[in-house]
This record gives sequence, structure tokens and C-alpha cells, in this order.
Amino acid sequence: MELAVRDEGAVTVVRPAEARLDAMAAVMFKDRMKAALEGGAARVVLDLSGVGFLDSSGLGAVVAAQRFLRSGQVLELAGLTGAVERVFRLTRMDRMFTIHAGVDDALRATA
Amino acid sequence: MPGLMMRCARRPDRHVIAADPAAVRDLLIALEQGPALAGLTGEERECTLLVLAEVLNNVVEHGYGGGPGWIGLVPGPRRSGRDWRVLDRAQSVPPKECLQAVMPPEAAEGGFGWPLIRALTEGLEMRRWAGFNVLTLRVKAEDAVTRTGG
Repeated sequence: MELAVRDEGAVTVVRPAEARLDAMAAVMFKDRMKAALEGGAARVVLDLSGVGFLDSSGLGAVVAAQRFLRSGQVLELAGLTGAVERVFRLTRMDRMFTIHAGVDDALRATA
Repeated sequence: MPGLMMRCARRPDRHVIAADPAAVRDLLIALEQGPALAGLTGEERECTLLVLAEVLNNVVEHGYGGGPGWIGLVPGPRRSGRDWRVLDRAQSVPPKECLQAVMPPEAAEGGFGWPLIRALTEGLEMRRWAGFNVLTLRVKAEDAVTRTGG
């Protein structure tokens, strides 16, 4: 599970390169997210628009990534597909994150 | 390394996979692209794939504890695409409490698997039969999932 990381002004955008964030990908995703957050801006947006499948392991990895945030840094989500949004909603983890419809919306919004 | 997956020659809708995450992923992709779920709505297909992922990964991680083993996936008698039986020979059996598992509190990083399975299924039943663990499930129809907030 590689991540594409880019800076958009004062925001770091992280995009998983694969469409499945599942039990097989979760550990590597967490490792890559740790590195991305360490080198990232104060505001990091995880672009999930390319992820069509997320299971509970993948969800746990996204939630766990928050542990790597430094003081004052925030992790927000963008572009949740229907299947991914359903998992966040059913588990109520949608309450844990600021969620934007897409990356463009996230970039327009202020933290 | 690709996961080991076999179909029964006479019954191609029956699957036997090695108990490892790669085989689970390969099976789910095969189901997604195959005829077994073709009669479902998009939402039902997504929920079925999620439920099967949770069930199969539970067997891999907790049943066999990451060790070697196999898992069978068989359509239920209705052949609806939403009815399935999962068989394994793991010594470790899920505690009955799993069938009552509730969503973990906010900020939890795990424990979502069984509550998700419960939220998206009905008729969930576990039994031990002739040395096999048999889990029977039916994924809720789309209107039922919508009513329960899915």
C-alpha cells in the first residue's frame, strides 16, 4: 500500500495508490501514514476517493493514524466512496474526523 | 505471493482458500467479478463483500491465529448471493458473545468486525459440526440495511 503525498499550499494531501484498504494493506498503510504525517503540514487530508473497499482492519488503520499526529496537526478525510462512507457511518467513526466531499472542498475549507 | 484459492470442479460456486489475507482478498475480488453476486443491488454487493471479508479475516486472524489452515465458502440453499456458509477447522471458536458484539466507543482502533457483521446480516448462526466450525449468515436486503442506518 503505497501513498502518493503532495503539498497543496499549506495542506498535505495523501492518496492511497491502491483501491483496497483491507486486512492485507492495513499494516503497511499505517507505516506509510506515519511517515507522511511526520513530514506533513499542520493540516493533512487523506484522499480516499480512489478507495473502493475498506474493511474493519483498514478502518482501524485510518483511526490509528491519528496517534502519529504531532501537537497542532490535524488529519481530515476527503472523497469517501459509498462503500467506505458506509463503514465510517455504521461504526460511528465519521464523528471522529472532519470529512469533505472531495479534495477540492477540503482545500477550499479552512481547518 | 498470491493467495491459494480453489474452486470445486463440480460446483464452481464453492470455494476453498488458504487461511491467509492474500487468499481472502483474491476470493473477494473473484466474487466481485463473478456471477455469484450478479443479482444483487450495488449496495447489497458492497455489504456482502464487506461481511465476507470480516468473517473470513476473523477465521484467519483469530480462528487459526495466523497459522496454516483452510476456509470453505459455500452459498446458502437460497442461492441469493446474500446467503452464505463459512466452514473451517480452526480449534479456536469465536465466543458466543461475538453474536452480541456492539460497536466500540469512539477513538477505538479495533473491535469493529463483529459489530459490522451484526449490523449488516440477519440469521447469523454459529455451530460446531463434525469437527467443523460452520457460520451461516444472510446479508440484509438493501431496504433493510437502509432502515438500520447502513
